[in-house]
Amino acid sequence: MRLFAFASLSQVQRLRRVLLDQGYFVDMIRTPRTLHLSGCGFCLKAGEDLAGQIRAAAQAADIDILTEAEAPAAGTPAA
Amino acid sequence: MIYLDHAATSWPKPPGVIAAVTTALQTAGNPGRSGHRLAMAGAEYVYRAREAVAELFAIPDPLRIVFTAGATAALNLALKGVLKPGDHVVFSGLEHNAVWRPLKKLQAQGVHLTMVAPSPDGSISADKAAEAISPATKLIVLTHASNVNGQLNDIAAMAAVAHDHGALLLVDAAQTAGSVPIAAPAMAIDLMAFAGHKGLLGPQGVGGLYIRPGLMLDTLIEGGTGSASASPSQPDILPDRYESGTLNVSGLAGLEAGIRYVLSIGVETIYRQEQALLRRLIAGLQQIPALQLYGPAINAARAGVVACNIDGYDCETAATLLEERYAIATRAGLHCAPLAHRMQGTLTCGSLRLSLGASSTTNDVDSALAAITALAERRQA
Repeated sequence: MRLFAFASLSQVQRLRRVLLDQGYFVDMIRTPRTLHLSGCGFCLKAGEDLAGQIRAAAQAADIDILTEAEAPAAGTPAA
Repeated sequence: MIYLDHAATSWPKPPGVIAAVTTALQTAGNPGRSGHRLAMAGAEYVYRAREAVAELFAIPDPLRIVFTAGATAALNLALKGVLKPGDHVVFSGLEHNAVWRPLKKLQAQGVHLTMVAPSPDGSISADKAAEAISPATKLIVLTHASNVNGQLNDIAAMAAVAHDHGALLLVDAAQTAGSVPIAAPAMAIDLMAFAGHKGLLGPQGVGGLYIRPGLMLDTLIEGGTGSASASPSQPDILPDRYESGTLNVSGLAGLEAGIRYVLSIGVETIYRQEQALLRRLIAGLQQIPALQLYGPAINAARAGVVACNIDGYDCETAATLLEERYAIATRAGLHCAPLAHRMQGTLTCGSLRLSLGASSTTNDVDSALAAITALAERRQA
């Protein structure tokens, strides 16, 4: 799974809605502290199969992806 | 109660608005801060309100909507976010104190002001505004409709003038949002302030500012946005940059419900209904001899607001009698718009304002006409 972090929760919500309108459901979660991702503290979580759609939707909506990272495995201790 | 004070605030609110506010108070946490379900529910209320506003004004990107405590706060943000000492601003003689007072404060800080008075027909001429423009003009401010007499202004024409001269156009849509069709980008509006509690039928305490893409304003307040929290600087992304502090989530939930109600009827339909009632009201008032009617001609472009005075009554007394004897709610006085009253010659006496809304009926108008006729005849007798 991949995580996409953004500067604003509103951006996360907008992208999630855009993707939903395109027929893709993407999870919105709190950014795990272990990733130390900057931004609003929320991110989109999706499988590799949807990563391309997220990048394309962000570009179309003129929203910068702040950070993209592999989601940590469950049980990873906080840094 | 016959309610003809929609220009102050719409009443009654649709049941869905009341339910939405109540539900949000019961189910919403602080949006954009915590990650638990109540906080996420709060964020969802806010985002849905943003989407509703964007749909209403045909704005492609909901993130260009900044929520504020109302139209006044939005106008302050726009004016003080754009204008700096040495800049010049052109504004109309129909502006509300929500524009006039911030401009006077900015004038004291070195911003230069030029007012464009209404033409003899009451309208604000784009040509006159063009004549007032100087190389230092940064902004033209125009109310979409006067809250005193309903004069509806040509926004697209003013936008063309502003952009021809490299200036921005700020529109005060407090009186028209939800009552008059508005497509902000298609009308080339750069900045537009709106109230949530008038034609949008939401609760008081919510409003917003549309900021067109590519435009960045200075901030009016700084603080927590739930984003870029480690940075000492205000973020430069919208809407966060201008939304410091916890938003009025329940109010925004009510705003979304109000807008959805408006959209379910259709702004064009509401506009036509109000115009039909407006013509009926004006035509009736014109039949009362002892009555002074102000504002644009009956068939001119206007919003659902009528200004008048009954001979022999000061406007406050007339409003009081209308309520006490006939249970009709109106508003008398200067309506926080002394410029417009000066322009229509009522600065010293004020006027009686009758304003229509989405819930207004033929019976409301006919009852008001009968009551005003009775007051006028009693004074004449």
